[in-house]
Amino acid sequence: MLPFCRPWSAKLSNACFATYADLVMFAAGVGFQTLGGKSPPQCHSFVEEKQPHPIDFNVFKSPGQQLYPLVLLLGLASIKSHDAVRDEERLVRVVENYAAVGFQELSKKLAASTPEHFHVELAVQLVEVAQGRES
Amino acid sequence: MLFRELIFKDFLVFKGENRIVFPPPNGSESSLLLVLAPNSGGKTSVIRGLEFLLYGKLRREMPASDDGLINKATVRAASQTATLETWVQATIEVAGEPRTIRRRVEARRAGTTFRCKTFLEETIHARTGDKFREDEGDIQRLLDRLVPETLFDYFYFQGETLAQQLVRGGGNQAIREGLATLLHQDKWESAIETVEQVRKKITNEMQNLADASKEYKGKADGLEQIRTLIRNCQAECEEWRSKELQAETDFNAAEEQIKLLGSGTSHDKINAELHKKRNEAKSTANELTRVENQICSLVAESKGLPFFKDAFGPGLKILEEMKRENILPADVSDGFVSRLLGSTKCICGRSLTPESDFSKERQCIEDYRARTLAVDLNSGLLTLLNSLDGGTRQSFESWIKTIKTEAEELISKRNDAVLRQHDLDEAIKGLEASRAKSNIDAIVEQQGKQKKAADVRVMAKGKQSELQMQMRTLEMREQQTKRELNEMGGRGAGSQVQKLFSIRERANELQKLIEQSLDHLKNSFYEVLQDSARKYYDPNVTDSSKAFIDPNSLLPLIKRNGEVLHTLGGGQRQLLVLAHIISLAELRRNLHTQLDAIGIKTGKLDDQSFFLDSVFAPCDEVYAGIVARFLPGKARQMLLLVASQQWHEAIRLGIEPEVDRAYCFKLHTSNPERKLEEYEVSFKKRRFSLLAKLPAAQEAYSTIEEIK
Repeated sequence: MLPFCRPWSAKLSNACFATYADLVMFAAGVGFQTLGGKSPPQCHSFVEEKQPHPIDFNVFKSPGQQLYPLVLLLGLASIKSHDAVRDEERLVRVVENYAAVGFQELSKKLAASTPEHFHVELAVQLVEVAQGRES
Repeated sequence: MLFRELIFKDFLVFKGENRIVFPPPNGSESSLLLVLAPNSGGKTSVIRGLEFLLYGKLRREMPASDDGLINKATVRAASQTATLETWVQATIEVAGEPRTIRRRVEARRAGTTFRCKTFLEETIHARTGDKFREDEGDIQRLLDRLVPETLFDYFYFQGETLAQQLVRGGGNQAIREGLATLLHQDKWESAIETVEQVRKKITNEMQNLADASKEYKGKADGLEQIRTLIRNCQAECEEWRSKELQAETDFNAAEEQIKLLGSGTSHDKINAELHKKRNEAKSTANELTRVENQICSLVAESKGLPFFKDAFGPGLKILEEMKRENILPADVSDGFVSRLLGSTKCICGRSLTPESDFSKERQCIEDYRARTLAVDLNSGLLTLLNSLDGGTRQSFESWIKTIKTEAEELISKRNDAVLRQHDLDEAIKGLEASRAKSNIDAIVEQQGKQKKAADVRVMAKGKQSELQMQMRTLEMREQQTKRELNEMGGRGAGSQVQKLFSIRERANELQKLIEQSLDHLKNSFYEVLQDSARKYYDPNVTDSSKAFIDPNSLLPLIKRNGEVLHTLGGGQRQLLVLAHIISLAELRRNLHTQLDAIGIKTGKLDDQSFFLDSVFAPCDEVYAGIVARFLPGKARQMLLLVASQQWHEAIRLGIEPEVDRAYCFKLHTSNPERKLEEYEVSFKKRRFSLLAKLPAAQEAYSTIEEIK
């Protein structure tokens, strides 16, 4: 999925995501939706392994990114307690676990589509999920 | 027929007596009278008034009873016992003399309805003053002769109807009848018929005289048969002549096409089209790239929010709980609580040493500190709480709606652009293939058409000369038989037969002469119309189309590159039709003179007056200007009815300097929606309004005022 991030050196012409954090958060959303809000399974932790290059949590907290409320929302909805949001390590783990599920899902969709058309696939997904919300 | 004055008295929209005085005829010069009128102001009432005056009826939308012709405001204002009347009166020029004719409706109330009587009258000048005499049939005959009903639409031209019928051509009986009237075909046919009757009568008399001689009868029958054969040959010959003319036209059209194809104009056309399509494809590709970029931005800016929708409920629940527990918002900071606990005194001044008995309170503060939120966390949670509040514009809910709407629009735009790009690619491929292919195929096709037309032409010529030979043989036989009959008549029935025979011969000659004259006239009619239509139309149009007259129907056509054009925008059609009817009117007058000269009496016709209503309506601005410059001077007398909203610069510049007299129709209304300033027009640098306000609930009406 990295070629869909603009900072990536071999980015595609339809690279959507301005930062890696945007991509991770988008994947986390897809993961949350795929699991229907259930807790995600534990995944291999990038934070602990520091591989390949972990994203600084402050990037998510940066007000310009508008990601922090979503991180908190994911934490609250997953752990179902406000205690969870005080523990940043725990929050990061929640986001990571959902993102891992989301990436698998996105990879499947990418395999069924073409990279050139993938941004349209993502837009169609957004419409379908939003429509489900309306109905 | 020229007008000197036209008066409408309480007729349709006109209240009271309203008159239009035409500028006096001045030698052979033409006069142009302009009428500016608002919508529903009475333009159509003028044409309808003329119809009523000339024929005593309205051909369209005739009211159920003649009292429907009386102005409504007049009816409303009249007392219950009053006798009402309406009339249209015209002073016209007949053979240089003025005659005043009017058609009048008298309406007497009979309960809730009216009892109406209509009169056609003419003014008689007497010493005791002018009087009206009622028609004894002669006035109506005069009007019918001056403007036959079938020609009304030609001279009192209303909008686009006639234009459409004329240019579409074929199949329209009314137009064909109109043209037949113009040609005075009825007069010709009646002359031929009269001669034929004379001939038959004499033949019968000769028959009676020759009954005694069987041989004579046989010869006379033979002569009749020969003449029938000659007439049949003539008719067939005429048919082949017509086919030859058509073949000639087809041949020339094909030749024009071949020239075009040979000159590379067709190739240039494909190149121009290809260039256009490539430009369109380029702009579509740019648009596609733009939409693709917008989709990418939308996906990024969405942050995947719709996928989080199931988290909104649980998240909000916990946040509400935090609010209830007074954790959110965190008004007291962690640092403040630490400082409080580290101090030896409470903020109220009491000692806070470990020995003092405030252990419970201290524990409470310790517990609170455990739950106090960091500043950034507090801010993040507050933002989240606001976003989950469905009532605000910044809420996640409205954001999701925006994402959905924008994504749908962009996907739809992208699909359209992809389809358009595909179509354009296909069109470009097709054009490239056409360009790669030489013009030879098209030239061969046109040559095929040309060869076919040439074959028809050769065959038609051959048939004609064959028939002419036959006719010559028959005519020789006819002469021979005539001589024989002459000799036999001289021997048998004597001088009476001889005399009758001679009369019949003269009748035959006359019949031939009339038929030949009619053919000649039809041909010259076609040629004059063709020249006239070209003269007026071709130099004025902007699209290189050309005017043609169909040799058989005499209806006008527009062609471009040899192809007849049926769908035309702009105003070419209007220009062509105006050129056509003006030429027809000129021809009609000349024809009358010619017919009079050879003794076929039709009555002398004076110059024709034209009333043109909404003549600019079907034209775009360019053609409106062309028509405006074209009209002045094209008829001895012309009344131009122009809607105020069409009186724009292009028309004004062409018409205004040529106007001899101008009138305006003023609409009097109580309708509050009509604003005075919207009805303002300008004529010769003067501005005035075509609207006058009436007190509320009054019936609207129009008046005619001269613009001085």
